[in-house]
Amino acid sequence: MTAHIHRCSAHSCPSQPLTTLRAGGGGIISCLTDPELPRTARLASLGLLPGVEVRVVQTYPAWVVRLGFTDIALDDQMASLVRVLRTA
Amino acid sequence: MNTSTTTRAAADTAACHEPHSEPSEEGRLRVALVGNPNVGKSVLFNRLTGRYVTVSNYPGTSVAVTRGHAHVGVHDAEILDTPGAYALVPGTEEERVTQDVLLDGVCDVLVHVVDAKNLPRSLPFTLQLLECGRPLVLVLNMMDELRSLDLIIDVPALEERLGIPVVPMVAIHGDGMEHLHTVLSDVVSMPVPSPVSYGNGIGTAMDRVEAALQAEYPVSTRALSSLLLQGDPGARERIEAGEPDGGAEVARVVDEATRALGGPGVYRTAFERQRVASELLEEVFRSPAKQKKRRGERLGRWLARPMTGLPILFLILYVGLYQFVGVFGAGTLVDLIEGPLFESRINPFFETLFQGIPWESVRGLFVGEYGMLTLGIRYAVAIILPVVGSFFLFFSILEDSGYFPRLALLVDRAFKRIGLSGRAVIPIVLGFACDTMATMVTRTLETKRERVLSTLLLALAIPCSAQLGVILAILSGHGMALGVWALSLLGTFMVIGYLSARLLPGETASFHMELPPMRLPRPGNVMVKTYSRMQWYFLEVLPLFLLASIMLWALDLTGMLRVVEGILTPVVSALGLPAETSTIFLLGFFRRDYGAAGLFDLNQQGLLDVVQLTVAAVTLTLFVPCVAQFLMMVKERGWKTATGMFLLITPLAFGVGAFLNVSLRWIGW
Ligand SMILES: Nc1nc2c(ncn2[C@@H]2O[C@H](COP(=O)(O)OP(=O)(O)OP(=O)(O)O)[C@@H](O)[C@H]2O)c(=O)[nH]1
Ligand SMILES: [Mg+2]
Repeated sequence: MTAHIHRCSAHSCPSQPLTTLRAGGGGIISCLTDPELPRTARLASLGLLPGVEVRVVQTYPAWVVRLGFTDIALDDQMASLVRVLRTA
Repeated sequence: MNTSTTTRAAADTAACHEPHSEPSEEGRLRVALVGNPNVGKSVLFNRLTGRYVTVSNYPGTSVAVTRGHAHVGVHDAEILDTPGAYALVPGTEEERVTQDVLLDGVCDVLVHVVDAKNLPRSLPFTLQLLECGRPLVLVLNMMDELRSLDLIIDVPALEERLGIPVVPMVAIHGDGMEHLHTVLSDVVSMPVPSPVSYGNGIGTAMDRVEAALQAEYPVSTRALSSLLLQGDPGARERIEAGEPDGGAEVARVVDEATRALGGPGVYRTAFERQRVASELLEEVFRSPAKQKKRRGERLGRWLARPMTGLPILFLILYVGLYQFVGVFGAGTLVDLIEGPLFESRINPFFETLFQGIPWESVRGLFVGEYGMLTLGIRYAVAIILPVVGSFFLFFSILEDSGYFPRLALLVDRAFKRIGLSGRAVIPIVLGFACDTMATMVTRTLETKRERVLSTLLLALAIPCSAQLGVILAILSGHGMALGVWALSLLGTFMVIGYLSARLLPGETASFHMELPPMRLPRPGNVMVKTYSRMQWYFLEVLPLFLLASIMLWALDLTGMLRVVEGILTPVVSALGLPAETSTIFLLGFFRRDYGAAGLFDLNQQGLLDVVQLTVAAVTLTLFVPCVAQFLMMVKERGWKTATGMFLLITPLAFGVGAFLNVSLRWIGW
C-alpha cells in the first residue's frame, strides 16, 4: 500500500485515530501524525509503521496494541498519533 | 573496499571508505552483541563468557556495556554485551551507550540478537547494522517460543537474501551455541556484507550524503550518512569533529537531501526499511492463519487491568514483602542468626580472643560497643544479609516473571501526576532492591526531566531492601506504626513528586513500553541472580560497615562522639527522640541500612516507644541516601544537582519527622 506519512489531515484521510477503536478492534496503520518528531520516531522504531496490522488488546489505564507477536503499551498521547484504517 | 554493486551502482565514488577501526590490543577479536531490549543478549553473553550479568524479563535490564572473554574457534575473543536498543538513533541514554559502541568502532564483528517470533519487527534494525560495514551475524533467539506458536522461518533462504550467516538459537538451553562458535571462528575471513538497496529516494539521498563525507571514521560512511539523514545528533557531532570544514558542507548536503525526501528523514528511512524488510521476509517467515493463545497470556492481562491488577499488587506486597521479607527474613532468619550464633557464640568468642589485649581502648576497636567485629560484622552478617537475601530472592522471581512492565502500565496515569511516566516504575521498584543500582537505571528514561525527578524521589522516599526489611521487622509488631510509616513515605513521595513536577521546566514524558510475555522464572537464574547480588552487596557493604565502626570507635575514644551527639541532640529532641538515637543518624549517613540496623538494636533494648519508633523510622528512611548512592547521583546527574538534592532532602526529612512527632502526640498516640 502507498501509505502517506506525516502530512495527514483528518479531512482528506479515511483513517481514524487508534484511540477511537475499542478493545478487540483492529486495523492497518495508515499514517502517523506528527505534532512532535521524537515521539513519532519512537513509534516507528517500535515497529508501528504504515502498512502494519495492529489489534487493540486493552484501552485503560493505558493502550495495549498487539503487532505481530508483541504487545506494546502506549499512553493516550502516543496512541493518538497512530491512525488506522479499520478492519475489525 | 566494501563495494556493493547492488546498492551504490551509480555513486561508488572515492568517498566510500571502509570503516577505519583501531586494531584491538593483542589482536583480540571483539564481538559486540546488539539488538532490541529483552531478546536474550545477556543470556547469550553469559553462555559465551561464563560470567554472569543480570538477566531479567523486562526491557532495559542492561544499561551499560559489559565485557568478557571467550574462545571462539582459534580466536581469543572479547565479547561486549550492550544495552538493548530499538534503533541506531538513540532515544534514551542507554541506547546512546550502544550507539557509541557502534560509531566509535570498538568492535570487529556484530552479532544481532533478535527474538525470532518478532523477526518482521526486528529486521529493519538488521538492515541498519548491515550498513555499518562490519561482518554481521544474525542470531534468531527464542526459537522455542517461535515453535510453540507454530511459526516457521526458512533459515537458508534468509541467509541467502541477507548475505550473512543466520544462527537459530535457544540461548537459555544453549541450543545453537556450537553453530554460533563455528560461524564466529571464521567470520573475520567473511567478506563485509553489502547493505541492501533502498528505493523511494532513500538510497539516492544516502549516496549523496556519503559522497560529501571526506574524513575517515571508525564506522562506515554508509552508516554515518544514514544516521545523518535521520537527524541523529551523535552522528552530527562526529562529523563536526571529523570533517575538515567542521561539517558545514555535509550539513548542507544533508539538508538538501532531506528536503528532497519531502519529510523527516527518520521517518522516511524507517518506512523504507520496513518495506524492504517485509519484502525480504516474504516466503521466509510464515505464520499460521490464526494466532495461538500463549501460555501466561491471561495472567498477563489480569495483571495489567486495574480491577484485577490492583488487588494482585496488594497481595504481592503483603505476601512477598511483608510476610516473606519482613516477618520471615528480617524476623525469623535474623533471630536465628543473631541470637544463637552471634550473641551466644561468635561475639563471646571474639571477646575472649581479644582479652589478651591489655589496652581497653585498642580492644574496643575490635570488640565492644563499636567494635569492628562485634558491631560491624554482626550488623552486616546477622541483620543485613538475611534481610537482603530474602528480598533479592523475592525480587528476582518478580523480575523474571514479566510483572514489572505490566505494573508500569498500571500506574502510568498516577505517575503522570508526579511528572513521571510509567517507565519510571522500573527504576523506582529497583530502588527497593538497591537505590544505587536504581539511580543508574534511570538511564532508561527518555527525558532529562524524568531522570532528575526519579533520582530525587529515589534518594528521598524509596527505602532500599536492607532498610526496608529491618524497618518492617521493627514495626511488624505495631500495625498502626507500620501504616503511618508507609503512608508518610507514600505521602512524601507524592507531594514532593507533585511539587517538583510543577517546578521543573519541561513536559511530562510520554509512555511506551514493550510487554514481554509472562515467563515462568527459571530457578537457575533466580538463584544465580540472588546469589550474585548478595555477594556484590556484601562486598560493597562490609568495608563501609567496618569503616563506620572504626570512625565511631575513634570518635568515641577521642571524646568527639559526645561533641557530635551534642550537636545532633537538639535536632534529635525536636523529633522527640532520646539522645542515644543521634548515633543511628550518624550511622545512617554512612549507609541507609546501617542506620536501620542501629535502630533495630535500640528497639531491642526497649529504649523507644511506638511514636518514637515511627518517627525515627520515617526520618531515617527519608534522610540522606547512603554514600554509594550519593556518588552514583553525582556520576549520573552531576555535582550541582546531586548536592542540591542533598541540601533539599536533609531538612525535609527532619521536618517531616518533627511534624509527625507533633501530630502523633497531639492525637494522643
Ligand atoms: N523462552 C526463552 N526465553 C529466553 C531465551 N533467551 C532469553 N530468554 C529470556 O528473555 C529474557 C530477557 O533476557 P536478557 O538476556 O536479560 O535480555 P537482554 O537482551 O540482555 O535485555 P536488555 O538487557 O534489557 O537489553 C529473560 O527472561 C530470559 O530468561 C530463549 O532462548 N528462550
Ligand atoms: Mg541485558
